[in-house]
Amino acid sequence: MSIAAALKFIRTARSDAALRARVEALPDTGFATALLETMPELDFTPDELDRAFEIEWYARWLRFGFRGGEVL
Amino acid sequence: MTRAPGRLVPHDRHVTGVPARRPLAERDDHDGPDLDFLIPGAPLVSAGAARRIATALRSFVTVPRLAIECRLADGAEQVDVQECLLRAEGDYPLLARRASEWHARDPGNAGLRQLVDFCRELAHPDSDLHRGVEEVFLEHDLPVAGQPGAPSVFLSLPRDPEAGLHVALTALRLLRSSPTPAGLAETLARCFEGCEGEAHIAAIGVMLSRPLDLMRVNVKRLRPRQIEPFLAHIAWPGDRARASALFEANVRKVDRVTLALDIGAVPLPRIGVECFLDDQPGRDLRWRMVFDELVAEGLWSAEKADAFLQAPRDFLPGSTGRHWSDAMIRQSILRDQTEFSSFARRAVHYKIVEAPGTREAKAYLGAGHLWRSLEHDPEVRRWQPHFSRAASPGTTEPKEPVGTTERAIHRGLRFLLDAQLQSGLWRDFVTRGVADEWVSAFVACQLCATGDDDARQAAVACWERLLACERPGGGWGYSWDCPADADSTAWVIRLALALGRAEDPAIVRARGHLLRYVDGGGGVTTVADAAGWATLLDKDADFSFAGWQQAHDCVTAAAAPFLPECSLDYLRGRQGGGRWEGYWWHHDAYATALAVEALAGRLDPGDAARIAAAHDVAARWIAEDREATSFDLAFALRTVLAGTAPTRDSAAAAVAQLLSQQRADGSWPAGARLRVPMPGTLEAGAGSDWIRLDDRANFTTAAVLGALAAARRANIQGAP
Repeated sequence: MSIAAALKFIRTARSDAALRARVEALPDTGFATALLETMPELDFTPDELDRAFEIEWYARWLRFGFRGGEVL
Repeated sequence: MTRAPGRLVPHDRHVTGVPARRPLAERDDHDGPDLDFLIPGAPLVSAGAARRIATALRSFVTVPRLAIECRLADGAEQVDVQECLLRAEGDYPLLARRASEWHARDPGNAGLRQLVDFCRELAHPDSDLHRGVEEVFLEHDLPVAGQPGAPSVFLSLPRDPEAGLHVALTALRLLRSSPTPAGLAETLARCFEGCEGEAHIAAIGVMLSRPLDLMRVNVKRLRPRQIEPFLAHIAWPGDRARASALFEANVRKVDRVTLALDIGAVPLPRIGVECFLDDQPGRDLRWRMVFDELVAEGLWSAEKADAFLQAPRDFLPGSTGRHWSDAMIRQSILRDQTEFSSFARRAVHYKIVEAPGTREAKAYLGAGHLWRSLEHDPEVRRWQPHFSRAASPGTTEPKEPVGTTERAIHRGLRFLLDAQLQSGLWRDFVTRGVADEWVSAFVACQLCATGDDDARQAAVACWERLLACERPGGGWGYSWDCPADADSTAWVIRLALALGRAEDPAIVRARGHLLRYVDGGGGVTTVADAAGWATLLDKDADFSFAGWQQAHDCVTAAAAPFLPECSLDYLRGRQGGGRWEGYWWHHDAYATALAVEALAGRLDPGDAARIAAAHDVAARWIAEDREATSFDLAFALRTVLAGTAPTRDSAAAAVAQLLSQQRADGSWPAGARLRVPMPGTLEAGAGSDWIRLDDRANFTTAAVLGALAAARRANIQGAP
């Protein structure tokens, strides 16, 4: 289990229609728990998903041209 | 609150070294999101109040959108919190369910019973209430001990007065179990009747925990001259002149003012003004100016006012010390990758309330979740919570004329008329403040050029406001707190001429004032009063304003119609490569167009060749300059139209480009690139200049309208 696995999951879910559909079927509330229950093959913890989300967020932020000073 | 473990992985295992953080949000069993980081700390909110707010947040219906009411007076500890619920976000069914739960916990509470009735009706998609109410605010009590009471309910109303009154009475019937007292209904109806023009009753509020049949009525988009007639119409018992002065004193300083009244069988003499600024304190210095005044008046503590102005901030993943919301992580995965989940806290408005013998002021923060989007970034950077946005345009728009240019002008006009502030002014360009006098004179001039009656009426309202802004020594400035300058003064004179007010004493004075800016060569400088600017910018008396005090082609061209004896020869000597240089503009199209128009108004031998050369360069801008904005194109179009022999092919091409660039709301993309060199910089464009866009798009839209109107007069249609 690792942050890398969670990161890979997030990136794959953005582009893989089948995985995306499985995410869409899950509720907002308790999403991480529901995700790991319905997809036991995923090898990360809710905390690692959270940390991976943070990393992926900033990676996208930089990728799409924002600069730190533009946050506010 | 801890995160529920996944089946495979206990939540408390951190085998990869991920630090433990408190979860941001989940609401299993109605244990709501842990969003207390949105609440500012002392001195704005005491530790005790923050705890009560944090508790209240967990009972909120959705991942919340909050308004936090801060009392900034010394010793005032009370803080109120409002929760915003939106029809468009599907919040109403959740609210109905939650209201029932609140009532089940406190079945003897009559206010909660009424709230249940109201929310059920609100949640029903076929109900008038659901269709008519876009947003609801619940103001929750924050008791130090015991069960919270029923919240106060504030709801938006449809803009149409008949529909608005119907929705208001429906809401009152549900929120007050007994029939609405006749006197209250009549007073409410008079409020609706008393609104003229753009003014409308935008919201009402009912305080469920109070036994009296009183309600709040919020009136938006009143113009200052309408205040006294409106208050007279509703038989308001207070001092109407004083109320009007309160409104007037604030409408000039901010972007929007809402009038807040309390009514029962008769109106109460208490009156409030809610004052909104569209930019945050970090970008718009007027927040600081107004707050300093309220501190100096003794209404607020300086420490709390400072804390409020420093409260706006963004909360990004990793910055809160908590896990991000599961819901937001899921939605992030499903949304476009250019959209970013964040939370934000913003300054929204301040409110001054007067009643006989009392005057108090409060300030409001908004806080909540925000989807940042690359596509909408300019809007997001200015983001305000939903409740603080300007009212949407009315729905009773006249039928749009047929014909592409005609239609574009009509739509552009609607945008600008809607953007006109209650003060009669327009604002644009965030620099050290936000420009209004100069911007307004320019915009109103372009409106006059369209020949439209509504546009002229708006220009007259602007003119009347500008008259009240004249500096004691004559002339007008960039904004109300700046010294007069030649450019702003020239545009106000242009406006006066367009409105047939050339003989107004203020204009006679202004023409005399303009002579102060003419240098020995006939050129016009922007700044004459360097000492005034040094004071304003907090500079030493010997600080150099040499750059701003030299003659500028763009300013001379703007003022040339009023200084033909000296300025035209100056301009004739300044043309280079067919163009004139703009000191204050990134692109030369503006200075070139105004210079050519000035020459064309008083042709001398040699001017035909000068104009032809300008036509050539403008034609190249139109055909080849891929970096030219709508603003630059508009002035290139004016250039090729100037003189006795317009370059019609280029003009048609420019019109076609401009028509294709108009946005759905009738505006053109902000493209007026204002260059602000350092005051001592003689040669603009040297690299240290600031470039500022007209981020509200008023200036560009007006420029395009003026140019399209000129093309229409020349009978030029857009070429494909």
